[in-house]
Amino acid sequence: MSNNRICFTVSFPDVPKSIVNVWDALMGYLRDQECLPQRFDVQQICGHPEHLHSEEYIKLKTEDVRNLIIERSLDGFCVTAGRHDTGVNYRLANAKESGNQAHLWSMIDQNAKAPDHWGRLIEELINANPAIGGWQWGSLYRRWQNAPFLDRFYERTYGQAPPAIPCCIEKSIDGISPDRVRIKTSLNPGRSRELIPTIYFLPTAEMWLGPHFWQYAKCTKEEALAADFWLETRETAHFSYFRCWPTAFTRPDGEQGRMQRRLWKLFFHEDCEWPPGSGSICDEPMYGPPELMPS
Amino acid sequence: MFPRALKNRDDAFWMLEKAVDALALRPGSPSGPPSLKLHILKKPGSGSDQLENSLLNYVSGLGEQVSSRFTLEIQPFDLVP
Repeated sequence: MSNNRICFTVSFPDVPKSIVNVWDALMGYLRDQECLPQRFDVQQICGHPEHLHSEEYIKLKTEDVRNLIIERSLDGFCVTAGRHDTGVNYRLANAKESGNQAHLWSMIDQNAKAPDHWGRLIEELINANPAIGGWQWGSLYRRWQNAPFLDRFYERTYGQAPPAIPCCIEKSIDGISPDRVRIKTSLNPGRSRELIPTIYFLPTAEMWLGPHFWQYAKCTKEEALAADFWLETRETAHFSYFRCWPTAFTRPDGEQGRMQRRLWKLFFHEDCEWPPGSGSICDEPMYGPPELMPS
Repeated sequence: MFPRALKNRDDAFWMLEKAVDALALRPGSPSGPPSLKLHILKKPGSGSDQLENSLLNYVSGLGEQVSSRFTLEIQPFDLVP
């Protein structure tokens, strides 16, 4: 069974002023959802000044991570709990030499104890920090639609590749590994788009778009709010909320595919197709992992 | 990196995932993200499909910024001549 949990990200134009407040918000949300691990393994690279970098992890009680953030004046964190198939990973990382932008990111294993909806946390974080946006998605669908290489792993995880999938050969980086087949995902309905280094837009069923998002979009906030396909929109002092589908997307075809196409056309004046090479969105589900096929 | 003998499979996977994290979260170059490569030597004849699957699943969960520049090489290597 492939991992298909709901994950989230919140992206910020600058490293949040108070890292400990981001930590507190995350821990508070996990506690409320009864998903708070008792201990974390804390990585000593992410958020750490270079002189403290170490490949060793520190095992800490959850309540002690907060003190570590304060004592070491961290500007981010990367923590994990649990092992294979039951693990969670939360990280607040900045783009380092590529800019001051930062993002909070989650990875949730299939059987991990973690929430399956992150909206309240996303809103709390965006209310407290200037933001580019917040997104949540089904892990398997995102990974499939953005799979970078056509290889054994692709076939094992996502099934047979569409015959016309656009690809190019990428030379080995070191002459030891074989050349690889890179997939061009730029017309996939579920593709992501890098706005600035490390910060991505994802066409998701729910989006929380902050004031810093609109400089990257091809439409204005007012034009987005005026679109007629939203199930729900909300305008607040710190973000605009858009919901266009009842659940996280799982398919690039049918009505879901057409809805993602509307998002791409609205926000970036870009098109989509599924399957690759068709020039449109097919009605019936085609390709992809069996877990994402309608039952 | 991580030159350790680990008998427990989950612990070994976990340590290798942490090696991926150490690669992914190190400072990038100003001209763009460098390629990331994890090179694992395995005992000749031993299976590695599960390890490859587990690690590449992990990498794909890290997002496109990491997965699109990541290479995993698992190579048989006999320590005993």
